[in-house]
Amino acid sequence: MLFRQTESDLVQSARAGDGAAFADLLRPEYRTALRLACGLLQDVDEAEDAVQEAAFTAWKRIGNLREGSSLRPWFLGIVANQCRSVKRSRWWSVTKAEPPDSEAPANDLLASIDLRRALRRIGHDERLVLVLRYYLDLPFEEIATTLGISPKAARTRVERAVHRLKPIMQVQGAAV
Amino acid sequence: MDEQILFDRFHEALDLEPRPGAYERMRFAMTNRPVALKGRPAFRIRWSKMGLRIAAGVTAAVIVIAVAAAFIGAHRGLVGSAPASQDPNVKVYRDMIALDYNAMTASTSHCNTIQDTGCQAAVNAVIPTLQKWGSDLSSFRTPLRFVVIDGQLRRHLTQTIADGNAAVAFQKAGNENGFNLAMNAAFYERAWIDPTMFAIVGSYPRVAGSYHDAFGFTRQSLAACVNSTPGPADLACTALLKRACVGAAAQICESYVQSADTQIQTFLIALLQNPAPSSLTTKDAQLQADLAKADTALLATTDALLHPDAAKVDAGELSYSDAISSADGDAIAIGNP
Repeated sequence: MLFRQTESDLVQSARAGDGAAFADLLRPEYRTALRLACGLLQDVDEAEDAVQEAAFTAWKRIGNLREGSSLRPWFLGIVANQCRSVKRSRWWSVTKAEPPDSEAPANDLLASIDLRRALRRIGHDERLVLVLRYYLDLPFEEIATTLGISPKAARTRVERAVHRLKPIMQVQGAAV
Repeated sequence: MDEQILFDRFHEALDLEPRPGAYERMRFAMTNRPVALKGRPAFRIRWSKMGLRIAAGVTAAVIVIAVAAAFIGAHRGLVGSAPASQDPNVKVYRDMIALDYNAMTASTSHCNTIQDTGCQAAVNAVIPTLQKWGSDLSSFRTPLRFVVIDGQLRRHLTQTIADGNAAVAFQKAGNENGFNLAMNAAFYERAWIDPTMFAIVGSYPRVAGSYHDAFGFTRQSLAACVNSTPGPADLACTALLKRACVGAAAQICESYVQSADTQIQTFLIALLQNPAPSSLTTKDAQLQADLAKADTALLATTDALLHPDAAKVDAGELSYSDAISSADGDAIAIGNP
């Protein structure tokens, strides 16, 4: 782009109410944010809507973004919260669409690796740390910043979430 | 559990790229929806005097350079198209497109509701930039690889002008439904133009990893549309052909048209980003040409919805159906690349 502004210019303009400037600021984060939302919601349309709503929320709260702090973990945290709201609002339809565990043949779970299905069966917080770690490939330090916890706590949460997947997800050849 | 296996499994299960226009739609919404910012005046950009001077100087320099590049580009090539590989005009072509795009975005003004008094001025400001862009494209010797998308970009620029003029006419007539229909169409065109521009200049994220993937995705969707079976992207074949599009239903039809057009655009961008192997160049060109016909038919349908002209809407939808059938035939002819 020929007329690209610096990040600090964009922040300043966004704080003054320029939506296009804030959108430009989010452009490098859009793909990651959408992937996070897709990982959490598993629906592209809902994910796009959630990221857009999160962008508006972030814009309104841009005054909370500290000078010199990174935009990405802050924005990803807002996206994650937005996705949690979306999940709550559609909870009934999700539970209706998902058959109970007992209806799924045990050998079916053993035979096929259906990670998407497994992710739908764990809680939002567990799904969130797994998506941040294994889909967005974030280091524990950045996961910690996104969640507002320590890196050690982030590591523990990831380990617990992996442990929760054990009965559901079978990885061929891996020690589960 | 082995960490690497988890990384692999998550990527296998969840990997996707944003659809064309997704970011641009968000940006457009943010540009046109005011929010109340805490403790800050809304829609006011603050510049220091020095900042303004520097920005003005840089902008002037960039404009001079870019205008010179566009001028040279426009006068170096003749009207028509040039072979794709190693075409020296590609850079000039891309620079010209970036320059015209920036001129268009710089002219953006506000026109959101029928009460908005700035609509006429907004439309008056943007139309010359769209006309100039169309004129630049017409007079350029388009690199072969971009001929199809270039042709469609020109059609969408023309439709954007028509949408803007229609919105102003509806506003003057106090026709709110018509105004909303026209503004939705104009907003959509903007959301179509953005990813197309980024795809042409080469900065748009890849929507497929290879020609095989791009073609496979396209073929599945076309086959699903023709056979009324589930597919990876909804081309709205059934919805468009079975629905009356008059009166209040026009907005529903418009949204189906836009949804279908976004998918067609995805295919065109995927095929642009992943050129066919030389053995399939001719067949791929035919596929792209028929996809472009489908896009053109959707544009005609949108235009007919705005006027409104039920017969032309039906004709547009039939043309769309024919183009999709032809494209499906092209895909079958290509087979399994």
